[in-house]
Amino acid sequence: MDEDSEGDRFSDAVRLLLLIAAVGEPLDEVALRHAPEGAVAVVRSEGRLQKLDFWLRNPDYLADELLNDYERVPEAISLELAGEILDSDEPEIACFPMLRYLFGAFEYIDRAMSVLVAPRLVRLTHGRTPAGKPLVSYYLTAKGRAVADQATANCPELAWFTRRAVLVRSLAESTGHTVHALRRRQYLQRDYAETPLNELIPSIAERARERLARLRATAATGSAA
Amino acid sequence: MTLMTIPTPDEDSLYRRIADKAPGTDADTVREILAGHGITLNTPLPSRRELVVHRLYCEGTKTGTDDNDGTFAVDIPLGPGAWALTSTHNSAGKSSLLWALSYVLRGDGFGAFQRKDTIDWFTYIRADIEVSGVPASIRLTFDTPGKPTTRLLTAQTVEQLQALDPHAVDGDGVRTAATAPPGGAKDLIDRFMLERLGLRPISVWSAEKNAPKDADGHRDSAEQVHGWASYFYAVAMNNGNSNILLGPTTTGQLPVRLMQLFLDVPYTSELTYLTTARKQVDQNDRRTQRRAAEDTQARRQQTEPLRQALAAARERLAACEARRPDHAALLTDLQAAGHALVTAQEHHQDTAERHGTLRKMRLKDERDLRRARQSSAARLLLGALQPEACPRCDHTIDDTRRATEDTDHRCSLCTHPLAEVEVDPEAEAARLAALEERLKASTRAETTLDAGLRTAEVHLEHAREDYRCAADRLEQVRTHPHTTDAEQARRDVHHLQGALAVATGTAAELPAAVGHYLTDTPDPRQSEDEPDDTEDRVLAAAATVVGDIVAKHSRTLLPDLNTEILRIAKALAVDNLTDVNLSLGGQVNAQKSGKKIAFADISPTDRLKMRIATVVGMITVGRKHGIMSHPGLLLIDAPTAEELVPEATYQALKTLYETGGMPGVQVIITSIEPVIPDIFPPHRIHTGIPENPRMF
Repeated sequence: MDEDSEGDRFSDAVRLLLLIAAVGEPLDEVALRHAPEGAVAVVRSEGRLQKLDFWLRNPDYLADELLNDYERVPEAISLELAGEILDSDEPEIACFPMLRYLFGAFEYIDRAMSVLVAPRLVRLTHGRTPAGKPLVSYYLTAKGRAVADQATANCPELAWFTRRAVLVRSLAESTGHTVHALRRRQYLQRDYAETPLNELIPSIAERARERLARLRATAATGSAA
Repeated sequence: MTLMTIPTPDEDSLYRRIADKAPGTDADTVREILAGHGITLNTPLPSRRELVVHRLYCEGTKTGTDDNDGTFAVDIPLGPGAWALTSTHNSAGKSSLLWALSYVLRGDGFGAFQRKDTIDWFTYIRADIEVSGVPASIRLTFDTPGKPTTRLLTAQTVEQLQALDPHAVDGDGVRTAATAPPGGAKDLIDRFMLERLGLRPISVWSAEKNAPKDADGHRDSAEQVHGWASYFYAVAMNNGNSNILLGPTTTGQLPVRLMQLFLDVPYTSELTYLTTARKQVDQNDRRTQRRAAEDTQARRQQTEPLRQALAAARERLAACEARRPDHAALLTDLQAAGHALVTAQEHHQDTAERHGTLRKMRLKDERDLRRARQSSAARLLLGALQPEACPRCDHTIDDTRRATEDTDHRCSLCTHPLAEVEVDPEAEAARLAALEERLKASTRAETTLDAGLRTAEVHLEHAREDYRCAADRLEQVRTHPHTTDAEQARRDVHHLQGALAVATGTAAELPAAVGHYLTDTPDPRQSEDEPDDTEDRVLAAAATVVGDIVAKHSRTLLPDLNTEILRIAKALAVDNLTDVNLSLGGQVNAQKSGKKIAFADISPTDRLKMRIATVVGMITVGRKHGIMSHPGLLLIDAPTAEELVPEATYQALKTLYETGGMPGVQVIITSIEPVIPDIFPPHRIHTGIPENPRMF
């Protein structure tokens, strides 16, 4: 971002593409009738996309949420996935810090999205929610799916986005797909909630690592018992 | 120089003179302090003391006699001059009558006149008298033996009193001045006589009966006040065995004080009170000191168990200290381990901080490289795609506009000229390579310091272990029974030191800070104010000044008195008396045949004559100096009882008769001497029942 804003635009665009490809809901027949031509999946609402993008851009928060899931439902896979992130330097080197805005993590994505819309990798529709609020839907086209698959398959640097986007999707599924459910869950993060408006949301990597250590110790004690 | 020519300082100058001898005081202070002791130094006025008995009347019932039981009444007219109560037989009642007279004049029977077998006979005694010109009739009614009721009558003339029947209390010009219930005679008559004769009591400081002596030989004493009953020894005399020249006791130099009093030496009474006050103050001081010493001793005794316990605790501590392991070396080891631990901690902290900095640098390099690669890949992936629609309106971009972009280098979406930005693969590769090199370098630096950090961690852990081991070793020694015993013994010593310091109020054995606290805290036992010795100094100065005056006047009078005593004693036929030299200390300093002889070694008869000579001497010396300081009454029981030589008896009795002829003098004697009628006129001899040797 600092050195080549043009490059960052493409970088942000490919991250969003891979995120939409990972978390987009497949279109059934009814949805296909109302979807733009060539659409294969959809992410409804910019707010939801922003919240999911927050977890993709902040591996420490993603790992902390996995630990929350583990505490709710102590499945070893949650602890392992969180450990995969926190045992590495991923929270420090793979993060893209975001600003906190009125309704949580937020960043203007129009320029990055235009990179996806112009070659019809993603198509946008503007509608209204049943409550009458504006609603933007992000449709992944078949072309977009193909480019995403190609990036995941051929570019190790980009494949990481897909792997983490899959984790993000599983979190979203356990949380609920509405933007409100996601925002509520993210607000449960103390550091997130206490961040002043328009300031970078701070890292919680160290705290998450300490928490991981405690949970591992507890798990070890439980196993031994 | 005569008494009248000796100047006596007036009251104010006397107070000033005392104040001058007591620095820091003034006349008012002296006056105030002396007044606090009931002493007022009023300028003495000349006295005129006179006591004359005009009538003695007695009633009673005789019991236990051989042949003479029954009631009796005796009425004896008297007056100035010499009188003799005489009988040719012993036990005729002469002394009993004199005892009765002494009782009514003194308020209590004069012991030396007392005849135990007759005192209960008397039921009523009356004396009509003149006291310094005041007529009075004293009536004693003995409803209870020894405890008469008293009635004091006065009149304008003594004749009005004499005219009254024996028991009558009403008459022309007669009134009852005072009465006293049984047992109150002495107080009433004492007060009446002192007041009428212008006498003040004499104070004597006398040891309390059976009081033990203290270490300095002092015995607890108390003030004895001598009034008219004691002064009566200068009135009543007999041939007794008393070794005292004058008065009932020699304590407080009472004999010489009586002489000074009846010679009108100024401030005699005041001097006795000053002396007593000083001794009282001294005794109070001694008692205070004694109490303080006793308190100290008591405290010491109270604290003795503490001292013994402290000594025992110290011995126990010394024994424990000898047994306990030496932990000084262990302390040194622990201290060294502590220093090493601090050094290791500082080194580790410094290394960890540097490692943290290198890690941050490596992470930044890694993040930069990662983003650069992602960015490069994204550009390659997306940059090559042809635009198909407008992101704004979603209209399809037609081939014409795409061709224009290729031919005219204008954006197929917005038609703006495209920047001449060509992606240089080599430059891009070089940029990535540079980032990779930077990452390698920072990784290398971090890795290098990893070893240093691990070493620092190991050192730190070793230092912690060393410190823990040293602390454990010291703790083992500290918790060893010998050590705990020593610590307990030390605590015991400290507790006992503190307890002893509090109990004794001394902080010598305590640490300075604690000791200062203790000694700065006022001890209620030591909080009494410093004694103010102003009172002592004023009393001492007053005693000196007044004593000087008394001594000066006395020394002026004593030579004359000595001369008179010697003259009268010889007239009374005292054998071989060659010199008398009364001292201010009360010694007679008599010489017989030129040799000193103690008064006690003189025969009883001569001692009586010496007493008579002394009293008569006081009267004559006083008269010579124009004063009547002695009342002039002499009651003498059997003055020649032991006299063997008839000439001497005659001489003595004649001298007494002649003494009674002095102005203002009345002498009443008892005697069995047959020569009495040769010396006394018949009307001055009372022989009692006619044709009967008994007086009544």
